[in-house]
Amino acid sequence: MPEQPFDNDSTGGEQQQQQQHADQSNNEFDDNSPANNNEQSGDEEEEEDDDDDENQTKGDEDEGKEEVEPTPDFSDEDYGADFPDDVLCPELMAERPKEHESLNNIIVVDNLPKVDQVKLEKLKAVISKVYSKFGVCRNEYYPLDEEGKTKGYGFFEFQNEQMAIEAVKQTDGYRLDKNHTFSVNLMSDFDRLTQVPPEPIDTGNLFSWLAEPDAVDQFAVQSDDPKKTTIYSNALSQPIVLEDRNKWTENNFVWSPKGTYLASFHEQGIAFWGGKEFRQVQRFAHRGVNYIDFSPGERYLVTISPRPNNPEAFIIWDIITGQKKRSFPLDQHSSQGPSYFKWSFQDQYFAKQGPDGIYMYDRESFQLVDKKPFKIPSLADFQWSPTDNRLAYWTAEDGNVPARLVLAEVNGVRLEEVRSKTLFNVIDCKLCWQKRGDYLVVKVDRYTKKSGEKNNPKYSGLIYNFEIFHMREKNVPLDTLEVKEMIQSFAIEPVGHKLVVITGENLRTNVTFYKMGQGQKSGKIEPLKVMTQPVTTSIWAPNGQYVVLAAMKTGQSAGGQLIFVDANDMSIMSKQEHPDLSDVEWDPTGRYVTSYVTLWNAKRDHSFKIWTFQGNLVFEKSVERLVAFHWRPRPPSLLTEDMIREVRRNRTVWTPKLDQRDRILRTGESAKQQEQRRKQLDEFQRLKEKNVKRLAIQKQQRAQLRGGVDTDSLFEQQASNVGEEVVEFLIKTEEVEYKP
Amino acid sequence: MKPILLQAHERSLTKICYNREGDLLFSAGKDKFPSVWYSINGERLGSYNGHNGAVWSIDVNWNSTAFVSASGDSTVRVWDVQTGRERNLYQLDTPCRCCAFSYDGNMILYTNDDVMGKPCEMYLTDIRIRPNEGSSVRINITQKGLRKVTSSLWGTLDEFIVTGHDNGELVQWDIKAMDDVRREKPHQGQIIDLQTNKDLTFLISSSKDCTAKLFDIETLEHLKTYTTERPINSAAISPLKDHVILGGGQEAIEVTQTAVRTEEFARVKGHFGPINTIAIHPDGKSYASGGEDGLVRIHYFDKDYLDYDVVY
Repeated sequence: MPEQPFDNDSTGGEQQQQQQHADQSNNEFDDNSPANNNEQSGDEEEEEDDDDDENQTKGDEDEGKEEVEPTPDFSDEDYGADFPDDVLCPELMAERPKEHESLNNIIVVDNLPKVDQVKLEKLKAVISKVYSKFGVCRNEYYPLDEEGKTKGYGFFEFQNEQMAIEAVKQTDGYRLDKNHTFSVNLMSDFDRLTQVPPEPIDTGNLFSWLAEPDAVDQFAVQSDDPKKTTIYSNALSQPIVLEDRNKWTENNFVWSPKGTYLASFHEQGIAFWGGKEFRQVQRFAHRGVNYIDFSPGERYLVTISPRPNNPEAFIIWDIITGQKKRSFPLDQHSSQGPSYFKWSFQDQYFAKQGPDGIYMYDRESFQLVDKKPFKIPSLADFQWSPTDNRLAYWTAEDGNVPARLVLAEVNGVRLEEVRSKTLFNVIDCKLCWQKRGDYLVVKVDRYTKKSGEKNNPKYSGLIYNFEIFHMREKNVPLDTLEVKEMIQSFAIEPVGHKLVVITGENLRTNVTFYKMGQGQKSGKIEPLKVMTQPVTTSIWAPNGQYVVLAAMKTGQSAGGQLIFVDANDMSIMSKQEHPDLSDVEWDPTGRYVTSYVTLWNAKRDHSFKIWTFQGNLVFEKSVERLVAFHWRPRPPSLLTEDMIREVRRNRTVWTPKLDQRDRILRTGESAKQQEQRRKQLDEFQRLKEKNVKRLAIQKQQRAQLRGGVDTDSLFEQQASNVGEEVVEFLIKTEEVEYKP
Repeated sequence: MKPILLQAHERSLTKICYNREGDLLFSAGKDKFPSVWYSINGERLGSYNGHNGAVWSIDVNWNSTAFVSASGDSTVRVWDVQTGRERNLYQLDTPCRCCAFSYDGNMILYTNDDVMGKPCEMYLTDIRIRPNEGSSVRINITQKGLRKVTSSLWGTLDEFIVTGHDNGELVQWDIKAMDDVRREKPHQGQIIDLQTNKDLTFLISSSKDCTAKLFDIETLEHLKTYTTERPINSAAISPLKDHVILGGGQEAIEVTQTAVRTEEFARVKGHFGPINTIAIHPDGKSYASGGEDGLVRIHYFDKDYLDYDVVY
């Protein structure tokens, strides 16, 4: 371990503070915990001021206390040790004044309006009004600058700590007017806050991994016992270990959506690693964090610590600065999980499902858009489009009101319905956006009969169908596709127009490929091909065209079939196996696919296999107690459509070069050979340089030989001096004979 | 791009060369009539008629005014390039093998074969002097204990001459001293062709022993060896890249190799029978080859080749 993501000092400090808080709320005891009291009761008998010193020097008390303070007193030590003060006279001790207490009563309010003396009274009146509801303000203080204007912040002392805490809680982020949003803190927190300045670490170039000349992808593998995380570079010959660390993360790791960071989980929070050597670049202190979620643009991080009664169960962080942007308490209305907040495509909005609709926040203020949620009664689920400020949601059936499927667009502070459809007898809907945002496919489960009680209905005669929105066409036409059998899973081609649906039960499954019509044909969904293959899931390559049909391990069967299909002509390229298969993951460029078996799925033979997109095995490695395998994502390509087309057009030019390069890499042409070549090249280059020098010296002599004409730079001259030359070609041949 | 075929020689080609600008291509064969062509489209400008035997070697001076040919009819003739008029004629006793213009274009060197009991000799002549008038320098090669000269060229600044011999020897001659200053024996077989690079710093020799070798022209230091499985009749150095082109073989074959390493990276077929002579256009973007089949083919390198860089 090169660094400790959370050094012990800070944790110590936190614990200490927590301890303090616990003690304070528990007013029967004084500041010291009973354990401490037992050891140090002798000192405490002497003078009470000692307490204050102790607060400051608590950190080093363990080493120094006994030597630093000799105790030349003659009291009955043994007796006192058994009975600390607060046991002897609890009433007195409870009332003992404590310095920290008064500090805790003070709050600091920042972002107040800056006013001059004249308006100060008015300001005071307004602010007092805000804070009077929390209790009596014992003292207030507005620092003034040289000109007598307020500095934009003020101090307020309350009667007790509870009032202060309540005031902080309720007025932090209070909007006085458009320009002034309060930032409120406890005075006692100030030391802590100012003591940890965000240290600017030189993280180097976080994107260096993208500059890899052969665009080799990376992946990370984690095993559980020993806890080890390994990052590989998937070089052509075979994967190379880049980084290998024990106990890098306490339970899991997550790549950020663009692959810039690797997030590790710790009891104290989240640490981000990146750059060339995977050094720590950022950390987010959030105790007991279980899940994290990124905004798609990698600007914000949501950490989730779902402990009961946690006022900061959700914290939204700015990733670059590490700043806490906003926190939310846990609420009962939503399921816990990583995607509690859903982010719009450019991180502009984030939204959660509330009790009565969608709560949408914007990233400027981290406040509710339009200060109120979008009221959507019986909202069941919603999903953002990955490419537009649009979202789709559906509302469940409620008594006589049928279910509705709605596509809505965010327009300023309003949510405007673009398209909607009323659906009857709906049990469940699954909203699924295509990666490019061209299609929204909704799987609808419906019933024909409903029985049982209201709260626990039983459905029978299930029917399934897909509702498909064509997002890129005028008026967003909507198709319906009926499917007779039970749908196991489905997947939309990420770039393209195909839909794979796996129907059937257990492993008696059919795989059907559909083509979603475009333009004129919009509204037509043609089935292209049906394959009877025992699989459970289909996984598309990130750029479409290729799809892997896989049978994951389920209760009944080990699964493990892998079928590689080219969806261009629906041909099966190859069939492979990886028994006890846990999951399949494409690399971000679509060149390789990995299948892996984790600890959760199988008792032994944990391994991962890397296949080419055609299904040829490239690499295979068994990892004892494998828990996770993830490819490092890549940011979206910076090439425009035109540039991509250009590359495609010149494929014949590129292919041989790349093939050659591949050949060299694959045969693992040794570094030694390359070294030798480079040496040869250098030698030859030196020789040429020597010759150039020689030529330069002889230049004049050469010109002399040719009557002063410089013939050295023939083509350079032509290029610069001569624009165009008319060349005449003779059409008739003529024989010239010389007769002496 | 399809190669341009020049069909004029009735018999096999012996030597082709470009002029300095590369607009003209000269060719000679066993059919007595050296020809000149537009290199750009393969149109024939004309031929130099007068020889009465196979023409073994030709050369053109730097400003494309004079053209020299050495023939099996035991003559060396200097021609006016533009008119095709014969300017000088040098009559020798035995068939003439090599001829070459000096850097300044005023001198020619030529050699003859050691047949009929006559020695192999090398001559240096100023073409401005009338042939009957003036003694040119004359060196008796056989007397020096050397075998027949099979190829020859002028060195830097016309200070020396390099000759390749029947037995694979390579000899450097100092012009002032008129004596050999360096003798090497790099090849096991006859040195059929010698060519320099554009700025006259390197020298490449082609030999029947299936190798071509690269030398420093001044020191004759051996730099590289290019080995093939066939006899090499001709080799040329690209002015554009660190590449060489070798031609030869019992079969129709041409080989391209890099100068730095000695690895073959391309092979061009086309001629019926071996290639006898190769020349690269001075701009390095095309080359011509003359074969035993009597054809000259002008090949333009495709864009792939020009963009190609060997990855290290």
